Parts: sequence; structure tokens; C-alpha cells
Amino acid sequence: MSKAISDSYIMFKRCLIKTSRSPEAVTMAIVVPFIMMVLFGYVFGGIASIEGFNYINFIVPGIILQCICNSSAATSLSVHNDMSKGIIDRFRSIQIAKSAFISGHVWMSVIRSIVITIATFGAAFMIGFRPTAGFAEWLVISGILILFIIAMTWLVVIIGLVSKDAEAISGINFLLVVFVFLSSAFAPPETLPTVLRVFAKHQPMTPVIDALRGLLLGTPLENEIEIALIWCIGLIVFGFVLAVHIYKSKLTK
Amino acid sequence: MQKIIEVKGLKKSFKQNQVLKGVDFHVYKGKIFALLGSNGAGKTTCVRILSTLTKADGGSAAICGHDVFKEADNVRGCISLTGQYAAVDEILTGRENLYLIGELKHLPDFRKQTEKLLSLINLEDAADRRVLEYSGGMRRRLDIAMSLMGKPQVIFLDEPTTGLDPQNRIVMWDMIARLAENGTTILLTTQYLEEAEYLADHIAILHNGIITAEGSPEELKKILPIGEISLEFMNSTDADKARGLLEGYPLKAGRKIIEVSTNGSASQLTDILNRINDGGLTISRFTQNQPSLEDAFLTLIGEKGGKNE
Ligand SMILES: Nc1ncnc2c1ncn2[C@@H]1O[C@H](COP(=O)(O)OP(=O)(O)OP(=O)(O)O)[C@@H](O)[C@H]1O
Ligand SMILES: [Mg+2]
Repeated sequence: MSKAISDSYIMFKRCLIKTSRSPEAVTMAIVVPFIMMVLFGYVFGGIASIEGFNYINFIVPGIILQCICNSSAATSLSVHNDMSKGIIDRFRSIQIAKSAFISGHVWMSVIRSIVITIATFGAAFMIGFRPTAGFAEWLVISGILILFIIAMTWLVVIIGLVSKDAEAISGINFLLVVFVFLSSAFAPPETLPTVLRVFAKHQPMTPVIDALRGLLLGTPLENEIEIALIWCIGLIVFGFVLAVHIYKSKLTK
Repeated sequence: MQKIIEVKGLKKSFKQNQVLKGVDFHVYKGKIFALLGSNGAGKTTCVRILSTLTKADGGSAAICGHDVFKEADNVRGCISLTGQYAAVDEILTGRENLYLIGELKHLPDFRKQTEKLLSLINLEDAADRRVLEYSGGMRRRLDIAMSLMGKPQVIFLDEPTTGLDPQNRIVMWDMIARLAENGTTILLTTQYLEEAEYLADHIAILHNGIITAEGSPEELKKILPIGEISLEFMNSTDADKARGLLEGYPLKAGRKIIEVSTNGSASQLTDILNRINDGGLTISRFTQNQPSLEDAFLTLIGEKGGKNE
């Protein structure tokens, strides 16, 4: 057990060094949230108006989720690169704990997403985001966001494991961003045409965004928090089991 | 002598493609063993099975007394693999790559070993540069150094010199030879007869899914057509005359060139040159033909190729 932990830590350290070696990626990860906030807040804020909301306040949860999806996408690529280059064979032929390779990537991805989430909140505050949440609400918000980040991480690990090449990866990861758009992120789903509305109401991004919005702004909540938690935990269990299964079957070819 | 690798009846197919049809060999402790085969012969498949990366369909294999299929973890503790394509992390520096392996193997003295290995592979100056900036030869050397971390008892080297220039190839040969002097057992694969001959204590030729021949380089030399020489004359008249003079030797005649098969001995060579000399002919060019692996296979599996007829 302690070997599994120390091996995972060594693999995490490797991912951390590699992330820090690509300053462009790190800068982009911090700059993109600012650009997104400014873009959506000022550009669309002028034409979109949602009754009872300051538009910037309204879109913060959606932008946060979008930045998490963007940040996770990098993980797909690094998992894919390791799997397709000889380095994975080297790790396998030394007695390294079986789980260490994947958990190194998962830790890196989760921590990067948390940092980016904080940066995005920072950007939001700078352009006028004014939530009413108190300490208790912020605790629940953090919990939901961390669960969401872990769920996204397992999904992108799966994408990295199954994708044939980098193009396929960026294609699939784009779908994650589309999910955010087709939710309650930028407009209430009621404004969408029927098919899209049904989709928007029954996909995981919507309850997560609604729960975050309610907690941040103090708008009334029904059972959005529970639904968001069920989605996140469900996705984590599903993603974990599937990722481990795919990883194992790839190795015993 | 202790058999440290023992392989019996190893079988592996990829769908319809039967790659290994029953491979048998063994390697003694501290020796260099060369698995020789042309492209697609199944060398990499064999090495991947032995290093626990691929599952075999049948047969048995034991390394350091552990069953490769049932005790994979114990086997991993005693081997290390340098695959056909360099398995180094390009974003990390050379030193960080070595540290990574040392830490994953939980070696208490991995820093000290890293310094030693860096000097062994002559990479001290580039140790803190990213591998991205390394040449192919430097990567290959680092790759092998990563395999040496923790002083494994058995090392697999899959085509360690493919893609290296002649000078780097010699450096690599030296390095491999020195490893074996320290008691490490080495199984290497190669497409070059020359390399196997130079390095190995024992050579096994993998062809059509089985070991078609094996033995020490000396033993193999006896069955390989190594004594082929080629004589070039000024014109075709001389070449025709020479053909008459060399009656008794299997030969193949071109317009101005005659290729003669000998048993490789000095006496036969002298005899041939004497006959030509006595006939008053001048040889404008003399070359000794290196047998290709293809020739070797043809001889070994008894399919007489057109070359010596
Ligand atoms: N993962 C795989 N899936 C399907 N076929 C494979 C796989 N790996 C190897 N093969 C097939 O097995 C055969 C032997 O391949 P292998 O790589 O072992 O040869 P090799 O002797 O190492 O050749 P080379 O000198 O080119 O490296 C080839 O016909 C190859 O196409
Ligand atoms: Mg090969």
C-alpha cells in the first residue's frame, strides 16, 4: 500500500515537472479564464439580459466549468503520449505499483484544475462578480467543484487511453465544451428549442451549474445540489471503473 | 553453469499470423546471447514476452528461477528492458530520467548510481539538458543507462545499435561488452550477423518462428558461407580463362567478375590466387564478400539460393 502511494507520488512529480516545463500551457491556462470572463461578461453581457440577474454573476458557474473542461483536456494528451510512446513499457517492466501511472496523471489533473478554478474566480471578482455566499455555502461549492473536477478527470483519462491520435483527442474534448454550452450556463434552458432543451435539462452540467448558481447568489434551490452530487459521484464511479478496465485490458494485450 | 533464462516451446500468434511457433533456448549466467533475425522474425515479440509485457499463447519461460507467466513481479525485479525504440521522457533532462527510474525502483543510492551511469555513457555534459535536444545516439545511450539502474541481473537489449552511426555502434559494443564482464547476463537482438559475431558468446537464429540454428560464433561460422570471394578481371576473355583455371570450386561468373565459394581457409585462398597467377592473368580487384543474413538463412534451412550455383 505504501508502495502504491510512493510510486504514485513519484509519477505525480514527473507530471508536475513536465507541466511546469511548458510555460505556454501554464500561462494559457491562467489567461484563458480571464479572456472567457471578459468575453462573455462584457461582449454578450450587453445584449443578453436575464431577468433578475446581473449577467456576469449569472455566467460565472458556466465559465468555471468550461475552464475545468479546458484544463482537463491537457490530461488526455499526456496520458495518450505516455501510452503510445515506449515509456509505458519501461514503467511496466519495472516493479512499479500498478495504479501509479494513472494516479500520477489523475493527481496532476485534479490539482491543475483546482488552481485554474481559483484563477477563474479571481478573474470573475476583478470584472465585477459579487456573490452573496457565506462560509457554509462556499464549503458546499468547493465540495461540488472538487467532485466535478475528479469526475471530469476520469473522463479525460479514458479519452486519453482510447484515442488513436491527438486530433481525435481534441475532437472529443471539444464535445465537453459543447456540453457546457448546451446547459443552463449562458441562458436558461427554457429559451432553447425543444430537443436541445430536453438535452440541456438532463445532462450533468445543468444541475451542477444550477446548484453552484443557487449557492453563490442565494437564489432559491430545490434539489439541484443533490442531483449535482449524484451526477458527480456517479460519473466518478463509472469513470474510475471504466478507466481501470481499459487500462488493464490495454496492458494485457 | 547456471541457466538464468530458459525458454521452452514459446508460441505466439497475432490473429492468423503465427509469429513464434515453438522457440527453445537458454542463456547461461553472465553471458551475452544474441537473437538474430531479419525484419519481422519475431525478435521483439520474443523479448516482450520475456520481459512480461506481452502474454504468450503457449510454452514456458523462466528467468532467475521465476516463471515468467506466473511470477511476473519477481521476474521484473531481476530484469530490465531496453526496447527497440528509445523509452525516454523527452521533456525531462537526462539526469531526471535516471532519477525517475532510480526512485521508482526505490534505490537508496540512486543519486550516486546516476552520476556513475552518466559517466559510463559519457553524458555528463548534457545531463541537465532536456532529452528533446539529444541526438539519436545520446538518447539510445541514456535509454540503456536507465536499464542499468539498480544493477539488474538480466538485461534485454532490443536492437541496441539500429540507427547508430558506425562510430557510435563501436562505443555501444564496448559498453555492452563491459557490462557482461561485470557478470550481467545480456540478451540482445540484432539483424546484423557481424554484431552478433563480435559481441555474443552464443547466437541463436530466429527464422520462420523457430530457432533454426544456434551455437557459438565459431560453430556458426563453420556452417555459414563465409568464404566467398569475388575476383574482377580487366575483360571478359580473362574472366573466361580464369573460370577454366578454377575448376573444382563452386563459382558464379559474371561478365568480368567471378564469385568463388571457398571454405574460408588460407590454403584454399592461396591455391586460387596461385592458379590465376600461374595462368598469367591479372586480377584488377579482389574482394572478400561478407555473407548476408539472408545467405546464412538460406544455407541453414537448406534452401539452396541461386547465388552459389
Ligand atoms: N501488437 C501486434 N499486433 C499484431 N501483429 C504484431 C504485433 N506485434 C508484432 N506483430 C507481428 O509479428 C511479427 C513479428 O514482429 P516483431 O516486431 O516481433 O519482429 P522483429 O523481429 O522484432 O522485427 P524488426 O527487426 O522489424 O524489429 C510481424 O509480422 C508483426 O507484424
Ligand atoms: Mg523488433
